Amino acid sequence: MLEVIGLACSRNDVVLFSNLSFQVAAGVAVQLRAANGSGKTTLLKTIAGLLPAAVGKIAVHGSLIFLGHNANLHPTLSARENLAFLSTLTPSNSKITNQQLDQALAFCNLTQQRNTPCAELSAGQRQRVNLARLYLSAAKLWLLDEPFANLDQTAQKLVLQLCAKHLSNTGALLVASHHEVIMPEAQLLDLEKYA
Amino acid sequence: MNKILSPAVFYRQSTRVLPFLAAGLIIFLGYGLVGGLFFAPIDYQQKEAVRLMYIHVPCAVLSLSIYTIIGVMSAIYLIWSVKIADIIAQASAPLGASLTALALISGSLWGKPMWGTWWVWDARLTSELILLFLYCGYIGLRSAITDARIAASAAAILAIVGLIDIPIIHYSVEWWQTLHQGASIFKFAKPSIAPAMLYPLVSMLLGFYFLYALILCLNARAELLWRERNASWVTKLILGSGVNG
Amino acid sequence: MREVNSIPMMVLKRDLCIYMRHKGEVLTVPLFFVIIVSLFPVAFGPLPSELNWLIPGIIWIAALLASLLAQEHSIRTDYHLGIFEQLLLSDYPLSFILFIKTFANWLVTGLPLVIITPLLALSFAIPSQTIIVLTGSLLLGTPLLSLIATLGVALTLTLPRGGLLLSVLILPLYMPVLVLGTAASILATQGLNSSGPLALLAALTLAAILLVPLALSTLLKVSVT
Repeated sequence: MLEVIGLACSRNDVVLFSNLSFQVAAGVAVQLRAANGSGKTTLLKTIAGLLPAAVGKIAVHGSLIFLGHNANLHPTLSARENLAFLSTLTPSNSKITNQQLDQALAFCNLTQQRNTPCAELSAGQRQRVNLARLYLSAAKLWLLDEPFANLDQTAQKLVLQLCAKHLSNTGALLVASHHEVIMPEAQLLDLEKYA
Repeated sequence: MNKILSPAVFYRQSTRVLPFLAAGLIIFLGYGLVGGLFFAPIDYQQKEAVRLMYIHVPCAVLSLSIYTIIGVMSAIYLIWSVKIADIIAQASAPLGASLTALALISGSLWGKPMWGTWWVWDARLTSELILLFLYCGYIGLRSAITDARIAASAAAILAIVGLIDIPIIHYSVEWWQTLHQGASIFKFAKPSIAPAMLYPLVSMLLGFYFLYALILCLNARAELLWRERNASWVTKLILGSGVNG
Repeated sequence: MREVNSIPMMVLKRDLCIYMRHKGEVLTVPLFFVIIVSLFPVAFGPLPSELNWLIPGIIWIAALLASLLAQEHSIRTDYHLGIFEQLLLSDYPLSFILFIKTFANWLVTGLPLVIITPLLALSFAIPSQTIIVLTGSLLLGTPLLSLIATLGVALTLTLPRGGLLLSVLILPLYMPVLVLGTAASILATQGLNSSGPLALLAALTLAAILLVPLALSTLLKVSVT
């Protein structure tokens, strides 16, 4: 699903990591463990194709979805409206119906908040709207940057549930997290080894 | 192609070229200044004031040439990602801005004896003033953006848009003013060019081009060394073992 | 399979929806426009009729300044929200999306200026031929102003306080538009043919519609960090 060979990335002339090679096959989850500022966001963005790879090769087979730090949610639009817009931007099996949007929000325990402007939602609730995007997505490769941020125990379990379902559907997963929450069966990749 | 344009090669070649640039500068500027400021005949109308032409004309010509070079280099950088092109554009801008300012000042000093006013809003002067704004915008944008890659691309696009803008401004302002004001047109009445005046003028022009080339090389080399400071050839250079022999 | 064709429509609907929910902010642009114009009769008193030919220029200058302010909202917020990253990942040509966003912004901030202008011009008692040409020139010119201003915002996206630098960058680029727009109107006042400057204005606007979104797309791709 994803192959990285000999990748080096720098930011503002500081080399973040070099000679990084790894693979993520279908049905496999890889957790990137690294401290803040060590380049995990840069790595994810480079894999997604948003940043150019100066040295090395990246091969992605299949569609991908990238969920960054930013919740991408416009403060004036409601959770549902934001979800509807963002879902059109990522691969999905068919045109998303209103019913599916409501289903996704229900899964993330946001049914009551679906018409609330995102400015009024808490950080945890906003992060859960992001999760709803994952629920609706048909992308094969998930690139997640700090998906557990701002989430309580229940919500973290939701993330793990979503990921498990994705993996069993032959999806692949690359998660960057400095959190202690380690996903079961995830391979660990320590970015600092390549600094 | 990439080999010729690599930073290390540029550095090495410019080291060789520097003495010639300095020599050319001294020769042409020297002849031009002495010939123009001392020996050339004075205009029967403008008297000594015409000598400002030897400063003003080269400054004005260079100010536009340099901006064109910046525009072309910016296009090269955007299309082919040639780093040297971006460095040349960046290194040329301060001198270009200074020459534009000098052209405006010398033009103003020349204008006072000619028309009795320090400034007039005709097409040429107005366009030159706008050129100064474009330079300042370019330099300002480059220095304000912290990320080098973004700064280079943003400045490049600004330079290209500005380059397209300049002729449009010049001709639209000129067209509108000739139409609007009718008979009262202000123009720099070029004095009839006798050889004794032409040769120093051309010499000054060449001298200024050498000046530009020299300052460009010096600035570009400094910028190059800074950007490539992590590269091995720079380390070797600083430690004294020469640039790749 | 994604409904690729619906992405520009979604962007348009979303942007218009957001503007409608910020009606207050959006209405400040035409308000600013009218205030600037009214500064002149305030400063100079009612103009004697021989000086009426200055009015189109004044209205155009006010339109320049208003357009400068208006574009702040079109792409800056979305940039900071990371929306452009998601748009880039969607594989849909970003340049067209940027055109749509600029168009949406123009609909909400530029078109009102065109609509208000005849009313404003009437308050100055200038000939109707002039008013028609003035309004026409603004109709042709305000999209161009919007595109140039969006370019300025894109250039200064990463700067925390890009405001003043933005103005310094954009106003020189605005000048030809100003000349052409004002010239067309003043020619009409004198009873002369104003089709020349209007045609050039139209040509510049068309060229900008084709080229500026490409430049915007390049800038946004590079601004992802």
